[in-house]
Amino acid sequence: MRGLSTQKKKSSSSSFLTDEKFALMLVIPIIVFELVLVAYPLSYSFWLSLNNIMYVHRSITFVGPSNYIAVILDPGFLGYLVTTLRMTFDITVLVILGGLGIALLLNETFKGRTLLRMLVLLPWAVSEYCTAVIWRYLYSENLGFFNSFLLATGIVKENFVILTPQWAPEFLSIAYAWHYTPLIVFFILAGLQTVPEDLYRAARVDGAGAIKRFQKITYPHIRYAIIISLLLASMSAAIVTDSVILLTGGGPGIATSSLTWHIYELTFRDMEVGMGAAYSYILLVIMFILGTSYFQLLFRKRG
Amino acid sequence: MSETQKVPEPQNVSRRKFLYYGIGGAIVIVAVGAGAYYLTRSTSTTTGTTGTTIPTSAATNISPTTTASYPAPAEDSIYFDMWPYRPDLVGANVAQYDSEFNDVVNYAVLAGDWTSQIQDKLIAGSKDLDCAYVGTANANTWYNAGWIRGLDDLQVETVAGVDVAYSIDDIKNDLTAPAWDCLLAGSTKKPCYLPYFESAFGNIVTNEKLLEAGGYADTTAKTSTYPKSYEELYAQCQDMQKKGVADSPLLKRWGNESWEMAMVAQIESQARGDPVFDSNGDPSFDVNTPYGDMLKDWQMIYSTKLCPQGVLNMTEGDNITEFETGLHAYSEQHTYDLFTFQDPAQSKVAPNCSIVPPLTTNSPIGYLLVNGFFISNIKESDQRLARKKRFAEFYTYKDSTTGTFYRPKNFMTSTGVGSPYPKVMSDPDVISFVTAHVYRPQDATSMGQLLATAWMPEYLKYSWNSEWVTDQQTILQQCVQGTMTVTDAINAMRTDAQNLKKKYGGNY
Repeated sequence: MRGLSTQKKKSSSSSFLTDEKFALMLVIPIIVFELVLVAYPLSYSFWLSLNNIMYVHRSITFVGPSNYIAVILDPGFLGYLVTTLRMTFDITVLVILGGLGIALLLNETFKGRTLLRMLVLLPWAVSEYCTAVIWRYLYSENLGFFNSFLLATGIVKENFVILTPQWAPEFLSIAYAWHYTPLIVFFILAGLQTVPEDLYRAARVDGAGAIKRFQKITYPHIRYAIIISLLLASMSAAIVTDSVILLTGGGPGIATSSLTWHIYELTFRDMEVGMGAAYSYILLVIMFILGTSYFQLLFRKRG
Repeated sequence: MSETQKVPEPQNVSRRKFLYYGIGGAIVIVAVGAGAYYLTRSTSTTTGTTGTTIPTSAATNISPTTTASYPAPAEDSIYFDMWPYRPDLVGANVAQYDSEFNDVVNYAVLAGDWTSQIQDKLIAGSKDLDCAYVGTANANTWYNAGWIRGLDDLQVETVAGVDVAYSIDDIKNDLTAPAWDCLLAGSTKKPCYLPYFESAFGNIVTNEKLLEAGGYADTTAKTSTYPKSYEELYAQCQDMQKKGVADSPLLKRWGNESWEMAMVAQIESQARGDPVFDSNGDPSFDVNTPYGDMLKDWQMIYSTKLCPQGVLNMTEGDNITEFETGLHAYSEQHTYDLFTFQDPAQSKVAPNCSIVPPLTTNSPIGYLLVNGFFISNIKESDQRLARKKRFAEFYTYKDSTTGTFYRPKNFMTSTGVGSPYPKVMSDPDVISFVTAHVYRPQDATSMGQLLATAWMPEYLKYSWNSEWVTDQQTILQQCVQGTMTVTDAINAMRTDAQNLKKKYGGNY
């Protein structure tokens, strides 16, 4: 109480700025930034979603919610949604499990650990564009690494197609997870660094095995890092676009045509900007629900 | 926390000082940014006098030099966007233009979805796009939208010291008639782009070694028994597969480029006698027309692996690399790709790659592709527009300094990419290049025949064609895989064509 009253006294004695004004001035740049880079594009795209825009004829007609109704009635919509959810699930699982495993490994003390930590980061340093190009070659039927390796080792008798209509979403997810996992590794690794070594020692003395130690000591310390990683990974996975464009082009057929791929096609190739914006808003709602669920999970656990 | 631990007292920071430093820092950042922007602009856009060295983005060995006969460019650079084909060669040609005309052309290679990227710039009316490569379908859409200029006003003139040396009639007189027709917009029948190259797409190239193994060729006598229709082609491939000559003897162009599959469908269906669209631009193809038969054959090719199933994921470059492995007997390619396949440095098929001459029982294989070069329609000075025209003429027609077909010939003798100008194709240097690279002398004749008999359907000029082509790609891939029936695929494409025609308010 004493400290608070001193602080209050100090701030009120400042003739230059009150606490509130000073705080406001500090956040003004962020508010401007948000308005320019988030609020304006969001509002503008929402307005676009209510219009039928024909660039070729330079015409724009207000159509109200018609674009949203057309999206819902689009026979392909469910397919795009399912593909998006499927790839989101695949990528999230791969990234979290891979990230956790690698982080646990890198948290151990062994020779060359620093070098390995650097090497693990490399896929993250590679752009998504390059990632897609690299994996396109790895997956290639007659020229790819995987086919050549499996053929040379006698595991398979003839070349086979990896990016089939049935499994293309999964293999695309593997490529994206390869790129994204290092980020999650370092999130979880940071969490692991906070676990006091004494706890492990005490647990060993008590006879706790590796699984028990993970369950009772490690996991509670990294739980929030995992939830944040889940949020980041699933949000990124739901909007994967570059990899789809460059690795499969939405195909074969429509096998990897996700919502973002379709939005890209509609907006930039077919110039159906209104429909593209309506699709984007529907994706935004899905992302919002996903994000809110994670935050609820996070805060409920904390509470 | 232990009571014995001492927490350091937080140091008070004066708010006034904090804000002053903050504002001061922001001003410095803005000033540095503005200075850097100003410096960059002043170095990239030369306004120097005649005789100065002009900076250029051309990453070539040809260093820009100076000439005294042309005034320095009065305004900013000309921006030229290209798709990623031989940027080294393009750079050298651009540098040659810069040095001859004391101009500044900045060229950029656009990787990725070409159509989307160019559309973005055209819609924005960007000054950073003056000229770019274009295909017939996109050229018509963009011309009808008013984003690119019609070129019927191209005439000999001098505008503020910039000489436009040739008229559109000069260019027309030097072109073949079919090539000239390609350049004309469907809506106005006026030229809307200039020709950058000519090819017959969908030509069938061969791997003579595999054909020999299958009993269809003799590489010593250099004779071959080629199919005379698509049906015969597929029968030969089935036979070779049965004989174990190749797992997948046929490499179709069914890749994931948005235009590719639609284009080969158009070629093959027309060769089988299906006009695809009637004269009103309404779909005439159906399950019972040759288009339907073609799709049934395609499903058979995919399911029996006559064609490698991974083809559906291939880009154009992947497809070319795939044929270079030597694992396939036949493939649908551009005429000029023959020269790539005949290069032993990169192709295992070399020197045994040939080309199937025009078929005798069906319409000729091949789809005349006169890809070109457009000029964007933006607000600019007459002098700047004249510079764009001058560059366009240099790049697509003649070098006015020497009066020669500098760039078309240079491309032909370096890459084999054909030219729609008969004078270029009959040039002795071009003839010796072709002769030196073909499997047998008759192949040069075959290539000439293929180019001469190739045609371009009118519906390629419909405003909605480029969008239809993209939609077709998805539908055809599903049909080939068997996840969509032939009937459903055809119905979907017919409906799509009708809807697009309605959406665009007609064909043009």
